[in-house]
Amino acid sequence: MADLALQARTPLQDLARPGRFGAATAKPGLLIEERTDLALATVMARRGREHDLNRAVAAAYGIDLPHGPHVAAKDGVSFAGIGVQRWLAAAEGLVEADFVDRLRQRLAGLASIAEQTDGWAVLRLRGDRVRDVLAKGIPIDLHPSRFATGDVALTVVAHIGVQIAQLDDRPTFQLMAFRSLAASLWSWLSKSAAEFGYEIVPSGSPGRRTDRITTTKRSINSD
Amino acid sequence: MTQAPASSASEKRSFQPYRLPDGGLIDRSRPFRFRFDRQSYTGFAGDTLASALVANGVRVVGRSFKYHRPRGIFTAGSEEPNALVELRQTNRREPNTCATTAELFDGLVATSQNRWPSLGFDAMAINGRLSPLFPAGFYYKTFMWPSSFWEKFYEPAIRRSAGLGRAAPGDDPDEYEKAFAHCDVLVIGSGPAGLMAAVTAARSGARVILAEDDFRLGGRLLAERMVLDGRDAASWVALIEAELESMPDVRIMRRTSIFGVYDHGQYGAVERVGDHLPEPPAHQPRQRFWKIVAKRAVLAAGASERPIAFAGNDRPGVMLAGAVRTYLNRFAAAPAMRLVVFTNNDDGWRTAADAINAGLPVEAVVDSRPDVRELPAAARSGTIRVFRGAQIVQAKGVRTLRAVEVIDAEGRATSIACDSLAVSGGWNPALHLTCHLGGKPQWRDDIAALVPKTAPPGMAIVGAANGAMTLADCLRTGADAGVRAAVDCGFTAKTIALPRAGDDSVAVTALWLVQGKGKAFVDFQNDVTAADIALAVQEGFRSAEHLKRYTTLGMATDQGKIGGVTGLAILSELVERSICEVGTTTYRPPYTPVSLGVLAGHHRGKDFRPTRLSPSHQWALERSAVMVETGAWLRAQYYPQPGESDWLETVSREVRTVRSAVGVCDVSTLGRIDVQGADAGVFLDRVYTNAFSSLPVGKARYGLMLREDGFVMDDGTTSRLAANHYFMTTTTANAAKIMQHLEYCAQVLWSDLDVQMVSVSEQWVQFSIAGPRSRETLRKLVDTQYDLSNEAFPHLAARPVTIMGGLNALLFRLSFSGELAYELAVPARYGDAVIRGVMAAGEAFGITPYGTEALGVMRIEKGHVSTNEINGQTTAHDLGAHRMLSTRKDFIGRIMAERPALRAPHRPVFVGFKPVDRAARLNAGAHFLPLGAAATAENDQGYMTSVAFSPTLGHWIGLGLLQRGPQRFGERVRAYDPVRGGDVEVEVCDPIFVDPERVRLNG
Amino acid sequence: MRIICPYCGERGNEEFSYLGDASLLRPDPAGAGAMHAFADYVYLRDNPRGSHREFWYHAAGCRSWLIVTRNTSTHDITRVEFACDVAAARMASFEDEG
Repeated sequence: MADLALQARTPLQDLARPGRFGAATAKPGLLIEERTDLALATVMARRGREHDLNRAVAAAYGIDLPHGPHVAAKDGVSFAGIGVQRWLAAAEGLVEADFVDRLRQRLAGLASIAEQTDGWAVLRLRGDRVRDVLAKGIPIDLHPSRFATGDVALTVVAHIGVQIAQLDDRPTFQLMAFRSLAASLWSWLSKSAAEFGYEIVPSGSPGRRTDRITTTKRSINSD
Repeated sequence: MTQAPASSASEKRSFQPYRLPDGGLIDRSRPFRFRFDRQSYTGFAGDTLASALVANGVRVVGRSFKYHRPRGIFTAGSEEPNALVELRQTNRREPNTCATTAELFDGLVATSQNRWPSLGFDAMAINGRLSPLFPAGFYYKTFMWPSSFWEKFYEPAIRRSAGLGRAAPGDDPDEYEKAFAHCDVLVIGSGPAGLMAAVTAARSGARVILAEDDFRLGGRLLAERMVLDGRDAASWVALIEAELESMPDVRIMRRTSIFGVYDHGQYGAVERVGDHLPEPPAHQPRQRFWKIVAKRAVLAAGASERPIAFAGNDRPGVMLAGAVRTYLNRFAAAPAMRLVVFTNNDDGWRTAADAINAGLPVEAVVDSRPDVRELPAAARSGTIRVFRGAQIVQAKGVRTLRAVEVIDAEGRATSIACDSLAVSGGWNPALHLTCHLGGKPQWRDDIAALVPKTAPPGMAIVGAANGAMTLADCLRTGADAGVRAAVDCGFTAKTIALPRAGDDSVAVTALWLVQGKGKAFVDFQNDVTAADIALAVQEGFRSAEHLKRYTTLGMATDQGKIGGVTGLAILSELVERSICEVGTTTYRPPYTPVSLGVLAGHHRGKDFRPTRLSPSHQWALERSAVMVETGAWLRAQYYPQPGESDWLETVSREVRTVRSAVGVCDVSTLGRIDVQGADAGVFLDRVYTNAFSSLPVGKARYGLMLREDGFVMDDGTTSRLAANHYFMTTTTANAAKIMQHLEYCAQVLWSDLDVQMVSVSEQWVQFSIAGPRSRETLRKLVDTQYDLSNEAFPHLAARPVTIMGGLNALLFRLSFSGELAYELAVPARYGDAVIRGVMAAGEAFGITPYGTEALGVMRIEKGHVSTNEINGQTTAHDLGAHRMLSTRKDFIGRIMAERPALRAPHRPVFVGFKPVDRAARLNAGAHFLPLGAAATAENDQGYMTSVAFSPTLGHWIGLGLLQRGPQRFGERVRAYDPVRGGDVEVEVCDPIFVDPERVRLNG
Repeated sequence: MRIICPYCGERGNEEFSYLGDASLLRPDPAGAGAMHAFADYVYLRDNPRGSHREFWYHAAGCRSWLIVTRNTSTHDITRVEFACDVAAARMASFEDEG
């Protein structure tokens, strides 16, 4: 099948096209960027190996695994606490690289790893009205005194399970939902942001995945 | 006092004969034109519809519910029982809108309700004269017989005569939305108590939400001529408002009603974002439903005034005394030219004083108390007639009040001509929100009112809502509660000096009912009179709850805010028990009416609930797939081609193509769960009935799960990818439920096992590629180093491969159709590319995409069970799967599945069915009866679960559950379906209709 | 209701699903009278007024099974624990005794 060019589709392809939408406010209240470059994997500690796992992650990535709903990041790699002894690991710009394979190797015997790169729609949200938009769906308190940079939460927006994290103090929020629900999430987000005006900015990430895959073969599991 | 008549046409239009020349919190530079019942009027920015109608001298604004009596504006707030109008037109038309809270806007159009054909002449007003025929319980008693008359005759007639407005004819064009807010202290109400609570809590550092029903902060302060710290009330409010506005952690929510109190500090609120505008601006919602979570709340909802029941107390021109002050002071609109005041308390006298201050002639003050302490200056000066210990026994006039008849302390009758009567029967604290979590009010004799007995956890009740009836008490209790709430939230109190304010006497002596001739209304909205209550008591309805149901007292939009307490008081006198003993009805949310649209928010139409789309969705749409909802998923049901006349033709073609060549179907909706860990195999042995620890790496096995009660829960294939790594599939319907069940097993039952699991359903798109040419199709996709021969990749093989030049994939040799078949899982972002690749690869073999219909037909032809059979009521024995119940290990449901009754021979068992007349159609849901037996429950032997037209066999086939089914192959039974008129003779057969030898599967 | 999840923090009850009495223990399937014990385990429930220990699953959050001690008449919640911690503690005490 050498004549077949493999085109990847992003979860929000055809929905979130760059441009200015909603109310014609002087400045968009919300800026939306779809991130398509994140390699993702669920990392679940093997029973009785929690301390070794902490050490291995620290040695491999220089990151102290957060215990609780927080995210720790270094050099484009992050680990977000999403449950007891359970994390979502993310690596920027490494979708087509072997981040997940190497994670499996480095944490072999210490954690069960499941790739989730394709499972999530990932949005980065910022702008003066970002908290007002999020308040229309996120049921948790995002006041700076309650939810700060580095905090993560799994919750529900418009009956859609989401993961939200505050990435910086601007603030920038990362909102994630399952790929199959991306269109429904978009319906909520675009309606909720409309009154403030919103702008969809092009994915600033490297390696927008429209090129043919040329990467090394990855095995599904290595254990 | 009124403006001089104007001469020019435009001035004439804007002439508001009852508008005071100055004062009021209205913007006279912004006149608004509006229409009420087709008549044009003018009001000002800052008016409500009611105040603008008052300013224009409009007296009759509606007809009453039952007797169609003309009614006028009675209050100035959300408790209004009479002035309910249809606001706006066509699809934005909203019935039962309170004119007293509807903000005036330019171009407003309102129509009165419950009059036919017009407000002036109402053909139904004869109900008033026929009123002996319309007592309490009339509808219950009269329209019971004959029952066939109900739908045809009684209901339409009652609806026309008693309806409260008309619903909009079409879909509401506006948007509604939901939002969440969090705070330390929620202050409900922005009167003097609420403002003090908000400002003290905020100054202490708490995050504060101040919610106010009105479009303006201030509460009663806007309606009274009061002085705080030497300022008039409105400018004091403005000062506090400005301070609150300047604080970053204070959110002021105007036009927001808190309608419900829920557990653990949760409050429901509706913000009327665009109700004060002709239509919401683009991208703005009409209303917003807020869910507020607050650590502490301060209820400062104030109080509402109650009337006194006497004959004719509903005549247009009779108004609550406090409302008269609101119209005079806040809106500079005069509800009267000649006013009489009837009161049982000191507060009523304020109305007289304010009227005099506004230049209105006050004819008389009638105070039911013989010993009134102090009179306003005007009364003392002798310009008003004062009756002490007197009562008004009747109000006269039909379309407007003309006179009142007073019986004085000595029993002498006097008639006083007037056009307006201000009535005050005392004030009822607005305590409804304190009862939403089960609190009951208690009676306080000194203010003759119900007050809260207990507060919901975390709530403080202040000001008039708690029975503090003087301004000084309101300010003090509000400030105290604000400080306490902030301290409770961990802040350090900052106390502030209370504003200097009056503590005018508010003494009251209860007076509920004046005996007299004519209807004395207690509940205006439902036309419930004092006589109706007496009748109910006479007929034995002696509890507050029964009284409400029988008389309708306290129902409809005002929920008894006007008449509730008065009704209880009259009841308590009649049954000779105290009001405490009589008790109140239960106050439930919502406190004020809430539109269904705002509760739905965005969730209507296609957004009613989230929709899940497969990665091949776009491609399927390009292929003109007909989509079907399966749970939250939208799936391709079938793919019609040009020239095909109906779905059956398309589905039959898809089935034939799969059975003769090759087809592809998206099966990504199956749940996929990644199970890993040293004990993964042991874990699966315990959750499945059959063994998985013995499954070789690289193989898949069909598994059955039971519930602990022994019934079948789910099925699916699970593959072993590595020693400690399994890939489980669940049915589409049960994906989330199984995940929850497995987590329960791992965390609660066997937390000692080393097993980890996570859903990977979203990571993988999965396609079934089925048919005799499926291997050849896959051969063109799977990279060449992988051997796909039957020997190298046999049935139930499951291995990682790469396809299309390096793309990682999982390949399973699994078959639901009974054909040589595979399932191919690839990362979801390549789902679109891979389905196109599969179609290109299969083109030479005549590949077809097939949908859920063809999938279903083929599984029925093969006798595979699905959700229709795994319906929560079937056991492994019922489904012929008892061989899958391992006897060598324990598993969930094992013990209970052994119950003798679940193995009893009378339980219907899974078999197949063919119509004896091969042209006959079968229906799922049909029940099986022996031939010749009557269609009774005793003769019922089971039911049809699934049917399909089999293109392979050329006739309908069915699967079902039949008593002793497997022993009855060849026997005939009736498939009886009275719901759809089906009665077909069918032959019992093996459920595997196609390829029972499994030749195709292993090909 | 609001439930304070020990992992996620305070959340509305719409994020959770309810299972019921958390005091029930899965009987020993090999024990004598297992059938009766399982019948009780599957079907018999007390319906107490007052304090009740019950299972809640944080379905829309961290996916932890929790044991919530809740007053069934006031909805007052006095304690929330990870079910796996309770199970581990029970197992440890069982081993100590054994």
